[in-house]
Amino acid sequence: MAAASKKKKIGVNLIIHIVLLILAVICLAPIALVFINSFKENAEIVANPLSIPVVLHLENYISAWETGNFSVGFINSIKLTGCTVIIILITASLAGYVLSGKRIKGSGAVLMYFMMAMTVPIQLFLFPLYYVYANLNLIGNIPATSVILAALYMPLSVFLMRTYFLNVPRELEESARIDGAGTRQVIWHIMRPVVSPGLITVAILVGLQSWNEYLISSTFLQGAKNFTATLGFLAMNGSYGSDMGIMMAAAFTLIGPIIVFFLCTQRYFVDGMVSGAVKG
Amino acid sequence: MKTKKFNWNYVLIAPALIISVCIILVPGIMTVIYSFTDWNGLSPEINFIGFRNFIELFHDKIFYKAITNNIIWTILFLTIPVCIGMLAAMLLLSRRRTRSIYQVAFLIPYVLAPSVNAMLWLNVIFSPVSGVISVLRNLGMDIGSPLANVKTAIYGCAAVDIWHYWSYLTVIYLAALRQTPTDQVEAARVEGCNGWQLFRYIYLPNIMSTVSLMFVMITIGSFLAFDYIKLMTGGGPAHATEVLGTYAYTFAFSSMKVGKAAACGLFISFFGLIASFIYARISRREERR
Amino acid sequence: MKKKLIAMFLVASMAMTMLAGCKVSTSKDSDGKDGGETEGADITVLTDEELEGREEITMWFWGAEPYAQEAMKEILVDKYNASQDEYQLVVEFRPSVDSDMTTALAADQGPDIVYGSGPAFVMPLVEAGKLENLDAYSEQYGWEDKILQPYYESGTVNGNLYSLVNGVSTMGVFYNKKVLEDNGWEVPTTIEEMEAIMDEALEKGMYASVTGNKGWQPVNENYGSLFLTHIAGPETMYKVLTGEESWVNDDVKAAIQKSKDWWDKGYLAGDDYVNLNFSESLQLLSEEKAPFFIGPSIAFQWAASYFTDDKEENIAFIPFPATEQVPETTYTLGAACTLSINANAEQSHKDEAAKIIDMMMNAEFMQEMTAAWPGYWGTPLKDLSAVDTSEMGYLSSEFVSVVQSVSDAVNQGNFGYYDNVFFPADTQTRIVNIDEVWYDTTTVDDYVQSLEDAFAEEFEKGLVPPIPAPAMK
Repeated sequence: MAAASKKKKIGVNLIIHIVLLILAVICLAPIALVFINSFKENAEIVANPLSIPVVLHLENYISAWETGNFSVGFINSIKLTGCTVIIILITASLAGYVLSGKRIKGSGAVLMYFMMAMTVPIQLFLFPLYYVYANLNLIGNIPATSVILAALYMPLSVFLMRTYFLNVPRELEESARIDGAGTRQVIWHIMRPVVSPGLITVAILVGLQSWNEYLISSTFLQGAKNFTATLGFLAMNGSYGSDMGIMMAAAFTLIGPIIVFFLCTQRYFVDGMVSGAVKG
Repeated sequence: MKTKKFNWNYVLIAPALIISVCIILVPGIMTVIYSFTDWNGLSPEINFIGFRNFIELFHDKIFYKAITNNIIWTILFLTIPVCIGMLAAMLLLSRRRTRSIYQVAFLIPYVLAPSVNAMLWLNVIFSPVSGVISVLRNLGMDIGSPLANVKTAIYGCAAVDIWHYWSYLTVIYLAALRQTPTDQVEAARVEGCNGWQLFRYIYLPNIMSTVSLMFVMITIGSFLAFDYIKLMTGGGPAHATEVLGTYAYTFAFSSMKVGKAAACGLFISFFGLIASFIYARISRREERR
Repeated sequence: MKKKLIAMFLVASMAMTMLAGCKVSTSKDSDGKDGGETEGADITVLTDEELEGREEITMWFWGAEPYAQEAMKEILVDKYNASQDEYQLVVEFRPSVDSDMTTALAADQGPDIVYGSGPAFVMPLVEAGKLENLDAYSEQYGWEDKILQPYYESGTVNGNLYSLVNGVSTMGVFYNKKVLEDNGWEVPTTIEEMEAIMDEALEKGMYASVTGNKGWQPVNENYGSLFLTHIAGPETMYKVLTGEESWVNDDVKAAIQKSKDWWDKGYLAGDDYVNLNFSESLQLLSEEKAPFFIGPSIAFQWAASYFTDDKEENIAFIPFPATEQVPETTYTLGAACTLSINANAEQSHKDEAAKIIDMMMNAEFMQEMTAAWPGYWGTPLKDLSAVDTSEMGYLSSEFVSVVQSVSDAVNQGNFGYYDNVFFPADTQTRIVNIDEVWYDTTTVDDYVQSLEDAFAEEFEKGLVPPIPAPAMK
């Protein structure tokens, strides 16, 4: 009896693993193909996109790096992402603190407003925003562009931070208040350490989004010297359409760092997505 | 007793609100105003033309096609990724040791840029020159690309977006499932529930609030759908994959009808707003419980 | 942590084993671009330090292939920078140049030299006062005398010049000589002969012709324009575009119907139309997968990437074969792009911009550019005799002869109208949507009616460019 159920259990486990493995292969196979093909010459890819490269054509990466202008692009991407993350962390965490609990009148209305702000099609705001930015002479200005991205990711970040603050026990703040702490001390000394995982999570989520963004940045970052890595890649997409090997190398140059970064930070990443959507 | 003290909280929330109001609300209101004009995006001349843009849209077959596609998109996203995501989450629930490795593998498409993902599918899978389709064709299996057919193109685009999106749901469902009280699960096990009954009567009721929140998020996202379609088919062939987002974009940047684009864009927000109101109702009811 | 390390190790080792034993190559073994070298020895290339402090004259351009960007830098930028010591030309290659340009100009920003995808794109900009009137420069540099009349006029609005076409593009047929020879096919001279060849090609499992709109939906407009020229005929189109006749007429309908027939028979790459771009199409043509590529002559630039070495002379270009309606050799007049000057630029920048545009409007420039970058720089000059093809590669000299024939055809009045030069913006968008007919989502009658509606509205607003008259029968 025990042996039979154990056998059954092994069988069930096997099926579970097979299903999960199939799903993993579906997720990873296309990316593996990009990786393999990034080392091949165009002719080899056309002959058989599934074959293993015979000669590692690292020059694909060299050409991709040069034509995609990635040495400039990566620095700009880091600047843009960094600015966006900093703006979001400061503003969204403060707003999240205020909106957790009824600290101000109309907090429900503010939450509703942020909910509405999630439903706007940003591609239609390019004209009015551009007009204002142009008059303020902010076109091609990376920090100014990051403000737009920050506004775009603000609702989600505020909601996330709010849930983190909601999870802080009320007594913690109350006892500090009784000890005479002002709002500033409460936030900096009491709340910050408790919600710091939340800050990291928001930073990673927003960072990835702004790294991947292309619509806003292509409109507002004029001047090739201001292009981000994603824009450099897209510029190649238009121009280098012919050489798949180089395209694949460029794609992998762009996604490689993200994958490594993601592998290193996946714990926080998963936490963050979850806390936004799962009420504790 | 209490002296009226200055409430610092208003100052703290100000930066977030100011940024959002300047970048989202003000242009949003301007978009509403544009929708009643014939502005072409360039000319200093702007004429108010009342509801003409809306009336024209209501007589436009492609506009209905776009709404239909948005609805198809919503239905697809409310079923396929939800089911796969739930299945994977349930399976992962029992894998304590290997769970995180699988999660990471699943999430990789989710963290990559839409521009890369779209390029990857177009050139590595769907291309008859350098893609998997060309390999199959050489082997004698001539399955055409789904994007080439007006009937299947929208599903081809959705497939790529779903491929990128479903793991997000898995992670969220998994986290919710893990919060199910273990005593309930144990009790059900003792009663002799099978896997399906366990899911149906124990897990599902427990994660219902997460599931309904995700339904709303998916609905809002489905009406905003733009990136993947723009990058993969641009709305073609023959508007087969046109959604409100791409249709509005074409009006603004190809036909030079910014007013009409704005009118079209309002519908995107309209459907999203309906979804968020429903969500607000649901969550209020839950808070009351 | 341990788990993560194990996972990473596994991934890394998998990758290593997969690639183990592979040789590593880091050098390019071929740079087989057609005539890649330019004789730029007499131009001194200035270093960055020498250019420091110079004012920038800016120009935006689409994301051309790297070899083409290189050619532009050597032949235009370096030459201009060396010609004076106050300014430097900066060219930005932007993949989304059209929408970027519109947004930038709307806000009175943007580069000094304005790139446009065609005169139809220019009209609303002129109307909004975003572009500089070029009449004075035209007089100064004698452009009106130099440039082919229809092209010069297409850049005018109410008689004033606002844009110049940088290069001629025309619809025609590229064919693979070897494929035709191997199958015993003659170069077609009538549309019936061509259709017969395409039928046979389909039977043999080849593509009838290769083409496609992957990544750039407006490719559709090429076929709309083509059939309007060769089936509806230049005379009808002239009447339609000047408002003399309605779009709803049997000739236009016949043209749209013909494109539909071709589509249904799979003549336009069949089901792969949406999965191919021009670059891939020319690759397939070079691999002898099809007898024809029907498309614009700017496609020479992609041919240069695939018709290399012993394949180079396999490709040739002919005008679209004779049809019953249009038996004469007729070219659809299209443009590679247009160049204008930003009305909001400083006066000194405008003067320099005009000087740079003038540099591009001469035979010597065309010769150098075409040698390095065939297909794009067929300057619409009246007199092309100064262009010396003896030093050019095969593709470049082929292209020059195409431009020369276009020039001759223009003089005889045998030309049709490409939509991005002669149709207003919304009508052009409707032409791009010709695939609605192909995919049966609308009927030919309804589609033609929608063209009429779009055109009538724009005609009334005066958005139609000047239409040159063809030879009337």
